Amino acid sequence: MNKKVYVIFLFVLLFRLFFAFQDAEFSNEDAYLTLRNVENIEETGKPLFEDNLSYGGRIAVFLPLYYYFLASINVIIGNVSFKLIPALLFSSLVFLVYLITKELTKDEDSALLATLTSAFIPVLISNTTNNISIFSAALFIILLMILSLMKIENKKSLSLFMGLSLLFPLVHNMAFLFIISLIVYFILSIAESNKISKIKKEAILFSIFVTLIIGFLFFKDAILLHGFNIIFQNTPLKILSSYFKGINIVELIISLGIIPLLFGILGLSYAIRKKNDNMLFLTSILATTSLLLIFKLINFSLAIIFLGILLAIISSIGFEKSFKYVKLTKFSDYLKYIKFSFLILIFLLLIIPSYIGANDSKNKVLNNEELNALFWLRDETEEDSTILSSHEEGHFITNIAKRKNVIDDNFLLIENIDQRYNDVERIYTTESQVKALQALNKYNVRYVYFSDRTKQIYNVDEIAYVDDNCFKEVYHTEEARIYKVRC
Amino acid sequence: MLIISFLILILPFLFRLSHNLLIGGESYYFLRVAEDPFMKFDELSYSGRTYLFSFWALTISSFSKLSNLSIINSAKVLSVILGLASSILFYFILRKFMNSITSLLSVLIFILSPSFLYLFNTISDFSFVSFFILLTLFFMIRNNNLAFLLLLFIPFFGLLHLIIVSFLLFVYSFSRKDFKWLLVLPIFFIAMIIYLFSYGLPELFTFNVIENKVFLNLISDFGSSGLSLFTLILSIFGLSLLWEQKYKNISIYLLILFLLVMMNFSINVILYLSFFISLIAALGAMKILTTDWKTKKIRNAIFYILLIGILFSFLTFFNNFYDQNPNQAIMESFDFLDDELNDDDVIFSHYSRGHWISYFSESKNFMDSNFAFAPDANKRFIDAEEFFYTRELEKAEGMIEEYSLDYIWLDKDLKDELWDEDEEGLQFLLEYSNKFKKIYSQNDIEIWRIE
Repeated sequence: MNKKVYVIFLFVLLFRLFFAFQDAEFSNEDAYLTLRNVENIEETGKPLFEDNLSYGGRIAVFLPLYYYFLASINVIIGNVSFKLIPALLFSSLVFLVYLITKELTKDEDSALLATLTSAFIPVLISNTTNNISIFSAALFIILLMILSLMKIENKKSLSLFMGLSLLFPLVHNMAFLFIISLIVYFILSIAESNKISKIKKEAILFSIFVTLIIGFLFFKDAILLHGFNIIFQNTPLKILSSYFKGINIVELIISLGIIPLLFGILGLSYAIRKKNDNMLFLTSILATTSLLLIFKLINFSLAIIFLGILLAIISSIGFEKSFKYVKLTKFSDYLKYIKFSFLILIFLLLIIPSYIGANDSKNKVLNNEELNALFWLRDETEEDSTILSSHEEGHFITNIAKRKNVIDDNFLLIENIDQRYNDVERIYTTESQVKALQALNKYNVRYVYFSDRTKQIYNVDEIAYVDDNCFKEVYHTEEARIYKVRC
Repeated sequence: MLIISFLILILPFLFRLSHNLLIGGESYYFLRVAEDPFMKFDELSYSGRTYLFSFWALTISSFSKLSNLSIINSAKVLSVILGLASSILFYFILRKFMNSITSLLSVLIFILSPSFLYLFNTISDFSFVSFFILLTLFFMIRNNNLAFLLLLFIPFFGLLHLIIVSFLLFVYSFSRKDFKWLLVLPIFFIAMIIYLFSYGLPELFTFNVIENKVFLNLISDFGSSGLSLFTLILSIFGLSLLWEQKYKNISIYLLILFLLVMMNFSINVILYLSFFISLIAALGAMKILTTDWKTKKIRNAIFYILLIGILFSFLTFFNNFYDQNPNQAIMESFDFLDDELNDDDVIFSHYSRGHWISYFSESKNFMDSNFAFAPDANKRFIDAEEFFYTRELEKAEGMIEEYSLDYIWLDKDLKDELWDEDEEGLQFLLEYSNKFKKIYSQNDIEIWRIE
């Protein structure tokens, strides 16, 4: 392994840790679900498949391996693991990207540039810097699987691929994206008359087979309940319909990174003409992710992050071909400087936007006022009371306030989710107290949590119908209020 | 193999020895009719209906008299014997066509299928009929004319079995070019006409109950007593092996298709399907082992995952199976009810509790899961649904009057299944109307008297 990769790794790790340790809290609500699961594993040995607080008490279905992994590390090194492990996993992606790009281009400089590019994709940094994100494990495994499949003729790679095929479906449902990509790869190979080696075919068959079985065993109850709709993970229609809402193309390009996008497209156009097996495989993954994104079948952030990494990988070919081309021109003597100018471009177009993105992500962290309001709920309310919050704040209620919520973003296995989602929205936005009380009583809500975050989500400044008869304001600060339901 | 089979058959009975109760609803139907196998009219089912003669009930009754065992113990002993005998017969039938390893593997997959465990532990007539069919087939492949005699008994097993056996016979004769067995078909045809003349055309059900959902019932991992997902995956490999000979094995494809269709009429048809799928799955296992793999590691991993998966599916099913209702608490509630009841009283509950009502409290049920030829099955099902979900007293009173209902029996599982909230539908009326009086409430079981 080139020593420069270790330097990139250290640089990325320090960059991530710098932002991660600036706040004690996390910048994403899912982190709080992860914390609860890890705590529960440490106490009972099991994650929260039976959750007494979420949705007022529910059976949950999810893939538990990442929680077990974090719990086991947490036992050894303590709570620092929640900041350290995701940062380590994300930073380690550079090794995998380097090895993949090296396999693709056989060119050291191109591989290194692509590696650096992949580490500072703005959307990746802004979404994952201060978070116990499961994406860290999912991306690490999927890149490792891509690498081992590229080198499948090697016995160790085969064993690694088989082992990961067993683990991946227990970690994240990105495993399904991977097997769909494998199927697309098969189809494209037939269409392009690309011969896949027998050992690769068998490994792919094994991966598809194992993922489907494990997926079925874990999600059979959800399949029974939601049927075909399970592919949308029972996400409320209103959330699905606002999937692409507020997305600005220019912002999207900047957050993906101009360099990986330009050189990725360049690399892709070259690869399509050359019909290289590894490139066909990467193109299949890229195409599958894009299609799933278009059809709203994959988490938006995850899809964009993964597309960014894939483009960064493919950009290595763009770099390599550009350098080869320069060598053929009169500028060949300046190649060294051209490569250096790429470094500067990466700094300007990727590292600086990443820094800004990471800084901005601090705004997503729970502030002191929100925390105090949640602590108030924990300390001053009855233990069995149900607290209303937006779905994005549901895990704050269960993890920090330790109370039952009405809704959070884990929608799977919840019946009539649209109705519940609409009821919660109505409570925050209606002007009719009667309608609000009907919905509040339906879910046995005793307290309503209303923060600046809630205001942004529902685009309201106040709860219109609040009066002293039925709603007593029991907690009030600038950024968070709590009302007790009295009727 | 016999020991495994014996253990599978005997263990659920042993685990439930403390209260000596059988699992499921159908068991109690056969136990009840075995007391009087020649009855003309069943006064308790659907508050009174024509009784369809059951050869299985007669067999239990006769065995009980011969062995001096109680009806329930006779049924248990017979089920174990039939389960064991069916496994042995299945093996010997397969040995005629396959090598010993494939035959043994088929039998192993068969006895580890949830459908085998379920049907040979719930006193179902399908266990008896499948044994009979296997015995007949055993003689048929040996060209022994005793098979003719056995085939003549088939019309006594009911219309559904008659149709299935006719089709099996038809396919068997054509695939083996052995047409003499078709001589019994006119007799079968006459029997069908007699059935239709005696009981009329069965009502086509407009309602859909979980028991009739083929896909859900096919896969035991969805909670039914069907086949393990892993067996089905192995059978895909098996089918690919059979497909190498293209249409030569069309009889098997046709039979599977036919049995899948017949599952719409009775979930228990899965037992017949299990024989075929087990065989095909065993062929699939052989295909995995004999195909030329580039990497033995992958071959072995797939093979062992599937085998362990079959075992795992079975153990999961078994773990949930032996603890199923009815339990002691349910029996006690019916004992209480038995003391309260008059002869003509009708008890309302979900159809899945119908056979328990009639067996334990010896009283008339509103509806049970024996839908075939039941009086107004469609109307009763719709009315029951309306009754469960109405909060209008007038509507409920209309229904009570129409069916002369006297009691309502509810348990916790049923309430959870039917209603999401405490005061939803009928529960609201029970709570707030004077029309209903709670006379029993123990162990999450409620009995309401209709005033």
